[in-house]
Amino acid sequence: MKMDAPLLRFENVAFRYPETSQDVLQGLTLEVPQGQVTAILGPNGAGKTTLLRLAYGRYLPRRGRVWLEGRLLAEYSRQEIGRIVALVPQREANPFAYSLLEYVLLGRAPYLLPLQMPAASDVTIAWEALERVGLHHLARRSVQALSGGEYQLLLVARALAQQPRLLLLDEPTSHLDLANKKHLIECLRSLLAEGVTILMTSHEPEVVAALAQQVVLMRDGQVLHSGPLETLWNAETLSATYNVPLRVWEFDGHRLVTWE
Amino acid sequence: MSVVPRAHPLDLTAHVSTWLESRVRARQRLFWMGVLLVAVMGISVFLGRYPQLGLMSPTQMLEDPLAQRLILNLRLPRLLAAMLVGMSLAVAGLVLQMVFSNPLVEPGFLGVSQAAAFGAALSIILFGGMAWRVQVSAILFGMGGLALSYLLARRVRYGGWVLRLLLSGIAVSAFFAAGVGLIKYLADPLRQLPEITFWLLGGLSSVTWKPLLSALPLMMIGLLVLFLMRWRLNLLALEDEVAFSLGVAVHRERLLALLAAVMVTAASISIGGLIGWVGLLVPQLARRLSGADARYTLPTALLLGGTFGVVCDDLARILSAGEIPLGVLTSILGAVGFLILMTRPTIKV
Repeated sequence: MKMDAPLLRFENVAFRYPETSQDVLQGLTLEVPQGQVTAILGPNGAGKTTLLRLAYGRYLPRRGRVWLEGRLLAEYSRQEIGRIVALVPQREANPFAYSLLEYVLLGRAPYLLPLQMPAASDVTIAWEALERVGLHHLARRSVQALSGGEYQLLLVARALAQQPRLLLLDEPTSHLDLANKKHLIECLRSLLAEGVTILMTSHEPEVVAALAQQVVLMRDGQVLHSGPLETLWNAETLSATYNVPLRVWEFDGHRLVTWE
Repeated sequence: MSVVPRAHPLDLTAHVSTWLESRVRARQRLFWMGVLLVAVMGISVFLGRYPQLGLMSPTQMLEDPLAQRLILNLRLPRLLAAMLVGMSLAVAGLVLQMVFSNPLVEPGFLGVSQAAAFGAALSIILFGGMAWRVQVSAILFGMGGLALSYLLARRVRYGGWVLRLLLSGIAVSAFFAAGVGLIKYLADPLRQLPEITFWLLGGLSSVTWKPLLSALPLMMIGLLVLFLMRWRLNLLALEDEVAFSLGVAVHRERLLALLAAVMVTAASISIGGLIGWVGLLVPQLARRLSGADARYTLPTALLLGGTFGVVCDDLARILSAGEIPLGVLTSILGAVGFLILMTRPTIKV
């Protein structure tokens, strides 16, 4: 596969949820380049999370096509997708007191046959994933003892145990304190260095500016603008996306966005 | 600044080996629970009210032909039934808790128990309580209760899939409970009503080889399927989105697990009547002992459930000259055990 071919491509995709009558995505076209961080921004209800759901085949488009690594996503089996694409959901509830290691091991499911159990090699991979997000010292603890931020990192670890080439993150930093935010950004950067492609949604401009090379600005189920961060990160474009006057600041190498 | 070499590979092997050790410990624990079950079964064979209250001496068993017949034709099938019913209800409870991602669910959800009870009561007033007819009717109605809950859930326009199933299950249960009430009202108070009441209270006193053997295949198949799926159950407890992203065919696999769980539940109800609380208490206890991972929790629940069933049935047999209904005993012990678990300082459901 060529390096410059997009890993994921949405081609004129329209989608509505079953039993609803309004399109959430309306003829959306989008390319996620390989080996980069692409961030989706836009107001609540713009269709960001829906877009992620279509990216791992949870739903199929009503119209248009989704391509993954040059092949139609609809032609993949679920297990195949699970080995290429991993999802870190915005939040996740589970009432049972798994240990962190047991929970991360669930990420090995796409590699196991229906009745197969994870083996020592899977444990090694799960342990490495925990180490990457810095939770390995808690491996035997219960997931219920984790703080909100640690839990988010745990979900990232489970996604890493899938050894994905495309990582989908739905507002990954929304529950994190400043230290954990920095930690996660560094962790994602190191994945990037290994060639993992990242597609994330975010409501936090400073996180996007620190991490993303590509930006997609969405509104009402459509892409307003997409392209390199440098060309889109200005007050005009962002203000138009959120429909509120915004200012962009550059300060000591950080890019900040504030209200007018 | 000196660069500290990371003890990475060493660290990993060390970790994997501690993981392997924890697996060995889990297996040892299971082994001892198995030993406990066998021991309880062994003692229970000699335990009873013949020739007098207490343990029968082995010499008597060898010499007294009546004792031999008693053990072979009555006690043995009853013990096996108690074990299998306990195992089935415990495992079914665990599976339902995982599929619904709710530690407070038990096999009676989804309308299964009430529908099976209705089927049994109906058969008692229509056919006068012939054992195999009651049994078949209970199984058919139990499965029908699930099917009805499932079909209704597809039409409910509120909440996610799991909540829909629970809601329609509650409605179906109420519907069949009303039906049971009506049948009790219509039943002949001298002949049929006592039989229905006894059946609703649960008990194994009428179990012989024949009903046991007819329920056995369903239980064995269901339990085997669930045992083989045990690690996979963890994935079914995840939220739809996440399970899907891990390559799990969420709806299909959940349905398979539910079908197996309902099959063993209906088979249990068909030989023992309504026996509550086992399916709620034992999985809770199993999680305390073996953690949340169903790979170990399920075998734990299986062995503990079997032991619990046999012990409860022993008590039902020997505590009083007349039988105490098994369902009453499991409810008392279950409720007390549940309260003890829930008031212990480590909340780990």
